[in-house]
This record gives sequence, structure tokens and C-alpha cells, in this order.
Amino acid sequence: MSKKTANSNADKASAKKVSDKRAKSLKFYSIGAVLILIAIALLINIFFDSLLGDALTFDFSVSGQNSITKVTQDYLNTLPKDYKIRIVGLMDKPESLTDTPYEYIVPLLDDYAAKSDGRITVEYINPETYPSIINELDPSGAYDLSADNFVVSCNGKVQVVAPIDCFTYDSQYLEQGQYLPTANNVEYTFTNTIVQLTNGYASKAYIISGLNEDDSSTQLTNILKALGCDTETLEVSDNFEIPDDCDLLILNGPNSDISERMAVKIQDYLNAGGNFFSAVNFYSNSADKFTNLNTVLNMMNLNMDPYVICEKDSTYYLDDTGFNSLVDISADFQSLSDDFSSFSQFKSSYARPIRDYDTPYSYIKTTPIATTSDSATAVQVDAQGNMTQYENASQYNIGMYSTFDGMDNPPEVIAFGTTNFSSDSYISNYGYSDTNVQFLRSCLRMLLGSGVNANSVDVESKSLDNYKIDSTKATSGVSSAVLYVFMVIIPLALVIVATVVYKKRKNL
Amino acid sequence: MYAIFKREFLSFFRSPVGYVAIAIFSFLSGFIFYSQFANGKVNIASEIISLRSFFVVIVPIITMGLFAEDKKRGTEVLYYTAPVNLFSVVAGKFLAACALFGVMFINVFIHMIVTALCGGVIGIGAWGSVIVFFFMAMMFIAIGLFASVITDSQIISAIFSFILILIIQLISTIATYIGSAFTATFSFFGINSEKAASIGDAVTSGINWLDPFAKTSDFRFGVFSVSALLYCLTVSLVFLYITFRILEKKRWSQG
Repeated sequence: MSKKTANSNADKASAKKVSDKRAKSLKFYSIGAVLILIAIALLINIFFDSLLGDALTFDFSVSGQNSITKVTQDYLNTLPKDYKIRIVGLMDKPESLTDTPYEYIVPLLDDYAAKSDGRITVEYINPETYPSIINELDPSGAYDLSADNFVVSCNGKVQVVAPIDCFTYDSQYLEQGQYLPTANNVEYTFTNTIVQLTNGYASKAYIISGLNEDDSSTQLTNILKALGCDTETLEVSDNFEIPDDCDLLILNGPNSDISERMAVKIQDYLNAGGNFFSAVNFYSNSADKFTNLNTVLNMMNLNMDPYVICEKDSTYYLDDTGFNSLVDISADFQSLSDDFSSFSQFKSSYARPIRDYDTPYSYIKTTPIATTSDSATAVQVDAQGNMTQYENASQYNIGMYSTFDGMDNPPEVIAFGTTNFSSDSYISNYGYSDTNVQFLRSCLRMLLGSGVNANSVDVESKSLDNYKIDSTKATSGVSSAVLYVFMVIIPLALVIVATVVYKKRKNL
Repeated sequence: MYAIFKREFLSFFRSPVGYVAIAIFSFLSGFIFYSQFANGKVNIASEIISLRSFFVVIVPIITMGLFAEDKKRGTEVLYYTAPVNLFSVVAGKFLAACALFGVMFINVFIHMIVTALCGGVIGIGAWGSVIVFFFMAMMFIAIGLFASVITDSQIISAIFSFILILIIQLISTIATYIGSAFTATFSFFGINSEKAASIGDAVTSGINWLDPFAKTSDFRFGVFSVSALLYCLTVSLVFLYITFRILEKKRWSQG
């Protein structure tokens, strides 16, 4: 019996040994299989991420917010293959992008890097962690490289891009210190910065400042820079002089007249073949007749009247006052350059009439730029703001072009009686892709002539996503219904059903 | 597999679990939707992105009982005796949990309809977020399934999956801490501070590479990345396979 038991124990031990061995090998196989699968999964992901990640990423967003446009792509393709442009974000790479300016910047910069064929690198280096980055980017210390900005460097040249400058903002909110973006100019800003760094500036414009302007012409400056034109402010002073390197003189939205000395200096400048762009409206300077400015314009066979244009044609005016209206681009002006062929109308606001000077010089040729309908009138407003005199219904010019006929390097003047395309507030509200702003760009390009960079690019603003709902449909009643249905009725009904189910089945 | 899928899916509605999960989801999505609606702006993509934060609560509720309950009742023996492949069992339960997420998501589709009726925009970013939502749900359900198979206690299973999902949700923060720890350690041993920082950054980036939230963040803007979806899919497969292996272990370890 004891022998039998011993045999049985031996059999059991043998079976257990076999079983243990089998279990061990299966365990080994099982763990091995899992490890191999994890390794394969890792390899596949690394392969896809590093090699095919960009190729298998598709931007389906409506305005291609996160992809560079063909304009930028074409420009990048023109650069030599060994060109190295370094974009450094002076910050840790933003992780949480939602509702920050980086939402539009970080993905787009990634796209620059991905599509530049190695010409552009994008890095994020926090100067607090890596203080040497500042010295590395700007050894001379000439630039103000501060944290949270982007630095674009190329061939030892540096430009700083602040995230806040990559958007235009609603001017009304801006006045209250709030930033409500109206358009995405991230690509516009970075591409033009790259163009400036790779091409340099081809010309220089001076913007006259100190005449109670409504704004600082920041947006106009951005547009000029995008055309390859460096800009500088020319302050009004008793010693007013126009620098020799001035390719274009700009008077944008003054609310008081220029001085006699300034008028003389501008006339001298024009006689020497200078280019002058003037935009004056009637909104906050109705009492000013701009006599000295008119002496400059008169020299070019132009005159700006102290009236405000009031449109009477219902197909032209944009509000009941008639002061905001559409104006036609004249066919004569369109024929001057292919640049203008795509424009037919733009929006005008509180415009002064610009007309031919009463005693014109024969060697000067003037061309209307933009005209009202035949039914428009011009209204005189007294110091109290009362409309005192209506001119006859007629077609008025709100902008004119003037140049010397048959002369080499002639002076060129564009005078507008409106700032409804050149003011910061307008450009901020409507972005760089707006028709008026595009028209302004074409006018500036015309005046700059060969001073425009041959390789300058025209990147359009991108519209921002707008998630507003129709307030007439989403009334407070609907809002309350949404609250009760989605937050109370549905969840409560489900909880009640859950309770019933639980009670019915708890004893099963 | 279909029989298991059907049984599991219906079992969600034969117990309070399914209703409670849907109720929580409805309330949370309703709250986010109402907050936007009341402000006059509705971004469905934003709503879905916010809802992803609640995976940490909802997924454990759904998955905690998938295997743990059977183990506790002893009905798991059916997996081994019934003429079905064990992977079909895992896949059936996984798909049932995914289907429950689909049912929950009807809430968001209703929100989309309300938004469209009120003149709002359902952009491509919203659809991108929907895709990401389901791929991430799949990934977290696979993790929850894994948590459920390793224990016979639903509570432990729920806590374990909660911790795993929380770690994944906080991976970028964790990566920053680990990176900083590396930097501090190397600096302590006398390595140049910038070199130490670059080592720390490399560690942070390496860990961040695993973050599914960062990988899929661009979908809400309408930028679709196949590799991000592939990542979610492979993580799901890995966890499903581990679940299958643990389940199959019973077959040979019992002998």
C-alpha cells in the first residue's frame, strides 16, 4: 500500500513537473508575445511619426489656418536649398494652445518647417532656462529680444515678431483695452518677415506725424514693410526737413493742417521727383480747410474741398446719412496699372471731394481714382456741426492721381479725401484681405514703383473661426430650454430609469 | 463575438451602470454646451475637447465590471468552456463599451443639430474632434478593460483604470516634473546648467511623445494626422492583447 502511495506521489510529482515546465514555457511565450507586440507598436509609431507624419497630416480647415499658402510656398521654393532661416520662440513650446494666440501660430510654424525643405527650422527655447540663446541670436545686443516673442534670424540678421502683432483687432474693443481679433495675419507676418530678411528693404517711406492724427499708422507701416519698404516717422517740427532717402512721403489722417514750411518742403520734394500719398477725411477735422496742404496739391493740379460728400443714390450709400457709401474706381485709373483691374468699387466714409485745380498747369496730368454716383452732393458743415450748404448733385472724386506729363522720374501724388482704407482702425477691423486695404496696397505699390521688392509677396489675412450663433434664434427662451433639457430633464430621466432598473433587478 | 457584444451591450442597460454613465455624460456635455450657448458662441470642437477630460470618470464606470464582475460571480469559466476564441470575448466586451460611448455621444450630435438650427457653425474641427474622441475612447476603454481583467473587485478595477487614465491625462505635467528632476540631478553633479537643461528637455520631450492629447490636439482645428490616430489604435491593440493574454493565462496556469 505504501509502495502504491509512493508511486502515486511520484506520478503526481512528475505530472506537476511537466505541468510547471509547460506553464513556464507558456508564460515565457505570453510575456514575449506582449513585449514583441509593444516593440512593434512603438516602431510603427516612431516610423509613422518621424517619416510619414507630415505627409499623412491633412489641413481641412476652411481657411487653411494651419497651413502655409501657395504664395509662401512659392517664395520658399525660390530660396536656395542651403538657405537657413531659424525661427526661435523665446518660450517653452506652448502646450495648451486653446484660446491663446499660439493656437494659430504654433501649428502654422510647424507647417513652415515641414514644407520648407530644411530651409526653416522652428525651435522653442526659453531664455530663462537658456540665457545664452539671447546672445547667440543677437551677439551685438542691437535688438530687444524679450521672452514670449518669436525671433526670425537669417544670415546674421534678426527680426522680432510678437504674437500680438500677428492679428488685427477690433478697434472699438481696442480703445477699451480689449483685444478682439478680427483676422489672422500669422502667415502674413512671418512670411513678410522672412522676405525682408532674405531680400532687405528696397525703398523707404516717411510717415508724417504730429498733426493730431487719429492713430499711429501701425497697420499702414505693416503693409509698407510687406511691400519691402522700410518706414520711419517724420515728426512735425519748426525745422521740418524731408530726408534725402525718402522714396515716398505719407500724410495719413491728419486732423490739422501742415505748416507753411512743411508745404514748401513738400513742394521742393515733389519738384525733385518725390512721391506723395495723402489721405485726409472729414470726420474729426470738419472745421479745417487744409489751406497749406492745398497749396501742395494745387502745385499738382489738385484741390481738396472743405466739404463732406453725401451720397444720394440708394445703390451706392451704405447708411441713411449718405456719408458712408460705395465709390467706383474710375476706368482711367484702372488702365494705369494691371494692379487695379480687379477693383471696381470700395467703401468710402466721410470723404472730402478732390477735384482738379481751378487754374491747372498744362504739363500735369490728373486722373480721377474713385468717383461717387452722379447723384451725390457735397455738404458744408459749420463749426457747430450744422450742415449749411449743399452743392449741386453731381459726380465727385474722392481720390485723384497726379503726375508730370512727359518727364523722366516725375513726381507722383495720390490724394484721397477719405482714410477709410489707410487708418489703423479700418485695417484692424477688416484685415489685410479687405478690398479697401488691397486697393491701398496697390496704390502704394504704384507710388513705390521700382522701390517695391521684386520678390515681395502678397499673403492674405485669414479669417478667424466664428462660432457666433444667431441671436434672433438663440433667444433667452431657447437658452433656458437648452439648460433644462440638456442639464436637467435628460440626466434626471436617466437617473430615474437607472433607479427603476436597479430596484427591479437587485434581487435577481 | 457578436453574441458577446450583444450580451455585454444589453447588460449595460439591464443594470444601472449604462444609465448612470449616460446621465453623467449628458449632464457634463449639457453643462459645457449650455455655457457656450448662453454666451452666444458655440464651438462644438471645444465642447468635445472638454469632454475628453471626463474619460477619467466615465471610462472606469463603464469598464470596471466587464471582467471583474464575471470573476466575482464565477461566470468567467464560461469563457473557457464555451466554443469561442478568448480574443473574441475581449473584442466583444471592448466593442460593447465602445458602442455605449456611441450612445452617449448622441447627446453631442443633438447639440450639433441645435447649434446648426440656431445659425451656428459646425466646422471641420468639430468632426475632427469627433474622430479623436472615439479613437481616444477606444484607447481608454482598452485600458479600462485591462484594469478589469486583473482583479475580481470592481472597485479596485475602477481605481486602477482611474489611475492609469489620470496618468495619461497628466503625462505632459509629469513629463515636465521628470525633466526638471533630471535637470536638477545633472546640475547637482556639476554638469553645465544649459547642458543639464537640454538633457531634461530631451527627457520631457521623450515622455511627451507618448501624450495622446498632444498628438491629437490639432484635429480640433481641422488638421487631421493619421499618425496620431494610429497611435491611439496601437495603444488600444496593445492593451487588448495584454487583456487577452491575462485571460488566457488562466487556461494554462490552472493546470
